[in-house]
Amino acid sequence: MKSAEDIKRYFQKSTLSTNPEKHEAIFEKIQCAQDQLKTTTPASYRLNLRRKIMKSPITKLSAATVIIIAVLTGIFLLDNSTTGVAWGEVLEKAEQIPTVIFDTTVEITYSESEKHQFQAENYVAADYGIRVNIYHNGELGTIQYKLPHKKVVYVIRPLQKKYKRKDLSDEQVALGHDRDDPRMWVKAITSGDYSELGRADINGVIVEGIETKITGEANGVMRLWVDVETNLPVRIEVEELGMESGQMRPHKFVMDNFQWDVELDESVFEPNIPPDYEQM
Amino acid sequence: MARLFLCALYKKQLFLKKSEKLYIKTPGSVCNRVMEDKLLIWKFNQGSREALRRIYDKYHSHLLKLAVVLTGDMYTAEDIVQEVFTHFAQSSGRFGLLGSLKSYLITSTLNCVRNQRRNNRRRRLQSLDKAEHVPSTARRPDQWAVLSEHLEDLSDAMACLPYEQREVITLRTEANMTFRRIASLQKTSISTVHGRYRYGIEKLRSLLNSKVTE
Repeated sequence: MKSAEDIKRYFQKSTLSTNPEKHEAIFEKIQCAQDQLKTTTPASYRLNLRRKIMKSPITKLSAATVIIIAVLTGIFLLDNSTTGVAWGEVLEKAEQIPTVIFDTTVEITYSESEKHQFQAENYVAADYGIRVNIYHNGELGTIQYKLPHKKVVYVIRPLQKKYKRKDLSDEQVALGHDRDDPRMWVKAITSGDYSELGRADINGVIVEGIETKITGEANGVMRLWVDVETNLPVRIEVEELGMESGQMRPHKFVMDNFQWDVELDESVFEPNIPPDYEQM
Repeated sequence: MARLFLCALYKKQLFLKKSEKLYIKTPGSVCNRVMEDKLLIWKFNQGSREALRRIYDKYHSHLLKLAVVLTGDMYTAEDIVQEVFTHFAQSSGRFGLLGSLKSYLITSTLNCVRNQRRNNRRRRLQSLDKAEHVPSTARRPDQWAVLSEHLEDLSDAMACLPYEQREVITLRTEANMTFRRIASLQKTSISTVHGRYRYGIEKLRSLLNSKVTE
């Protein structure tokens, strides 16, 4: 890069494409804002209309009848409802819990015979941050500490005796969504157009599942399995195509073995880098 | 109806700047865009859904790119652009514009980014997406835009600059704004804006160079 012109060219080369279905869905919301404007009438008009209606005894009687029918119908529907996962409450409940431990397995398929897999243990505590222990071929290859309260991220590679420290800006700390936090995925799945998968048994826990499609280039699916008794996530699965080594390749990503609301000591989130480790 | 419309359009032409009129006969020129936008706004104010659709299709990717570079985060950028268009849609029937529509939408995006930054300071949640490549390499599942590798690198590098520098570089390079206009938007002097641009470009250059050599 030798001049501002080069930076300008870099800007020009920096492009993006949009997922057509998501693009349509967003436009529908925007259009609703325009449509609502057309249908909104002044409050004074609505008040006058209400007064006119409620002056007539017949209208009053009809309104009362409609309300009674609506209440009775509601009671009838409630009586016939089945018990199961309240999908609308899963995220709310999970977000109220300050700590969670879980495992992650990532599998990237390069070819029929070549698959790369690694596992991670994840510790999330609202008061301290996130720690991820990443294992390659059964060996602890990387430990990551994301400590928003201290505005810093550490990446430690014990096998190489190296570490990296990255300071975070206030902005990075405040953005508010991390892919290592399962709640982000719960939000994405429950807020999408999901279909129910019914009940299943995961390690002796009765769960109910839902599935949301990932459209566009990634073209995949996300599944969420929730304990019917606790209403908390038990397993999250994501299958999609992702960019890896310059090519779109199948990624499979599973979060499981959740332990919600466990006690996590602050020492879990202290990097304690040995003095003979070099900075990367 | 068509005559009425043409008449209204002609009247609107009278209020165009001289420089805009000069471009009327040049296909694909800036003025064609300005004229098309004025026509779209007129239709939009009549409640036309097609006009809103055309404006959305025409400008969404440009605004998304701006927001990505300014915020350094795709998720936030999507929310911002959606908010800009939602506010715009709500102004149907009473939308008046003196300058260009593109410039208006860019300024709206900029304001939303600034509001979002203010709101973020109040938030406690952690997001370190950009801080390190993590096991969950999968993209956010429901995302609107897919960034090219260049844009991802650029957005990462820009995130390392102070916000004011980032704003100057983006508005100058991507939105082709004059330093005078940027100074007025940032409520500062032109020399400060020049300084921010110079320092920002220097830093960006070194960051992107190191990326290339990696």
